[in-house]
Amino acid sequence: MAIAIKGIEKRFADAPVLRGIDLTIADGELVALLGASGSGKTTLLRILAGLEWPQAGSVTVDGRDWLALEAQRRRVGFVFQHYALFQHMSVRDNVAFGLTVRPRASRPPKGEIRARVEALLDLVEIGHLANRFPAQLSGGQRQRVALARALAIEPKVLLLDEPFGALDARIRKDLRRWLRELHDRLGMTTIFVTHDQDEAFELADRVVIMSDGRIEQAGTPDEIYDHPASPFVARFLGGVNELPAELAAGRLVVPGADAGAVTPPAGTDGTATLFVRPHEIDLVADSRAPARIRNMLTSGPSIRYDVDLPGLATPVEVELPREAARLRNLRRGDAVRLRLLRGRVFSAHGAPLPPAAPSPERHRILEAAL
Amino acid sequence: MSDVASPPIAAHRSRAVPRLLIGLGVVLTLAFVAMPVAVIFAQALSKGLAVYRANVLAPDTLHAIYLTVVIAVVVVPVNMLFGLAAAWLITRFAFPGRKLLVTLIELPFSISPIVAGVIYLLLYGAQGLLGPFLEAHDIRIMFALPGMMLVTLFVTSPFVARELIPLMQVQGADQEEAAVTLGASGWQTFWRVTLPNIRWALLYGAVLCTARAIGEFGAVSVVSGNVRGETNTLPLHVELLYHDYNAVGAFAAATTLTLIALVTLVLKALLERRLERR
Repeated sequence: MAIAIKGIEKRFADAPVLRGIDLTIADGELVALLGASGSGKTTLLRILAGLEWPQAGSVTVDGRDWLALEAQRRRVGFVFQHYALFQHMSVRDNVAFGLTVRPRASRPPKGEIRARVEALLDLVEIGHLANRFPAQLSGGQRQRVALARALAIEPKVLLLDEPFGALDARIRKDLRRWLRELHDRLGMTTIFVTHDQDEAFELADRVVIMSDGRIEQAGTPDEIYDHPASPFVARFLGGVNELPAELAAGRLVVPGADAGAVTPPAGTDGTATLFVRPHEIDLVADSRAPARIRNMLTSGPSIRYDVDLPGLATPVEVELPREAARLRNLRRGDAVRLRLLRGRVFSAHGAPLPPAAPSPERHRILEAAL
Repeated sequence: MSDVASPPIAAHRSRAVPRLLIGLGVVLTLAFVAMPVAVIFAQALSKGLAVYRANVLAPDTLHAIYLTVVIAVVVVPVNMLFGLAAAWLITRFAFPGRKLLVTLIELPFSISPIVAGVIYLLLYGAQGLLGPFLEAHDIRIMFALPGMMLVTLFVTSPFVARELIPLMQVQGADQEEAAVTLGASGWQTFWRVTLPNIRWALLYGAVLCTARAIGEFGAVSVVSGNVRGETNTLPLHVELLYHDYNAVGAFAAATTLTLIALVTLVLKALLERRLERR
């Protein structure tokens, strides 16, 4: 089902949680709502499920006003973060619940309910646990019961709140792939909330990055990774260097680095910040260059360098493939030129940048103290 | 550190202290719990089994038992409903004055039962606030069954709510929300999800409530009027018989109260075990 969300605003008491959310989700899409805790992503999910109501805005699903429908009548499969399994019911009864509470007229006969529950338990690969109680299951098994229970009502939309949050890392990876396959097989529209970037990028067709009740960017994982819409998104994705830059007459100047390969944004002159990832920088030995290698670290297939650039409080992180590093043959203390292969520029005017690192003065004071 | 340095003393101490404390516990339990109970039965049976039987089966005593049971049978279900509604309201909704309501629910615990009885007397008595109105409409609340039920309700009202509120707070609304998204109506959610999750705590609260309703003396004595065979509950009847210098009768009546208390105690222990297992 296609979902159109327009201008959703939500406040709890006086605290705004959602400040105008616009988002359209296509039929059959798998979408991740990604953000830190407090970004409003779970509240948005709960509004879609009918567990929360917004103060303003609209949600339309296949042309129907979704907010006029009670949660009971939306037929949304909701998987809670801590599963919310019915503790006093067996796995079988948990999964059957959505069918047994239907009004008599639309309730399937007992035999059919039983058969459908069996089929669902097989689908989530826990057929042998049908008579257990939730307290007797592991986290991953509970997760599958919760999913089977949500799927029992044949939802057109599946909503998952931090579906892998409570599981350990290895199970999480398996379940991720498995959920993707399930989504493709059943053809639902699926929306899940996560704070785990890897999870969102690996699993979703489209990632929606939320912060402070707003959508910062929505796009495919590649779009977001290659073209972050704002400094916030670039920083949120992490592992990125922020270099002060100057835009003058269509040219980008980064003190101490060679930025010729970076395409600057058109028009705006003035100070800017260049966001560049460690593997998007190459190092060239140059005895006249101001930058110095402070530290080197081997991390398996690549070598990480911390490079001190004059005027910069934090060292620039550079990552070279092991082979390239061997050819460069660089040592600690060597003078190097930074060659920037790619990067994203944000002008200081268009997007005000809060300082990401302690000021140079502070850093010097600290260094002197040490 | 000193324990390590001098093991003999430490070992000696560690055996002596528990023994002393356990011994103290046993002596106190015997003196304050077992002996009084034994005395009740010994006194009740001091003139033989036939006299005991006659006393327990005396019409006034039987009526007192009947009245006590009637009050409990009415008060306990009402308080279960009230406790459930209050706990649900307090744990599932956020509204201004929620904390105040919690305090209000616990108020009967901090008010002396005698004072509670007097409050009702001042409200519903002939000289009370609502007295003239009640008299004009020929409604009798004071010194009659309705008044005794009202004060018992008041005194026992916190028991169920106090058991349910912490439990429902810990459980949260997750399971109920899950039921709703699966299409369950409000009633279906209550009967199939909420109630099964709290049933043992609800029963536990009901048992405590029953025990108190049966044993209540102070508040009921203020509003009952102590009419023998009419408005006398068991605890009041025991006192009445004792003042009549009918020690055997008083103790015989007391044994029925004691037996009810023992049954309650067993039920309470069973429920506690149930609650702990969950």
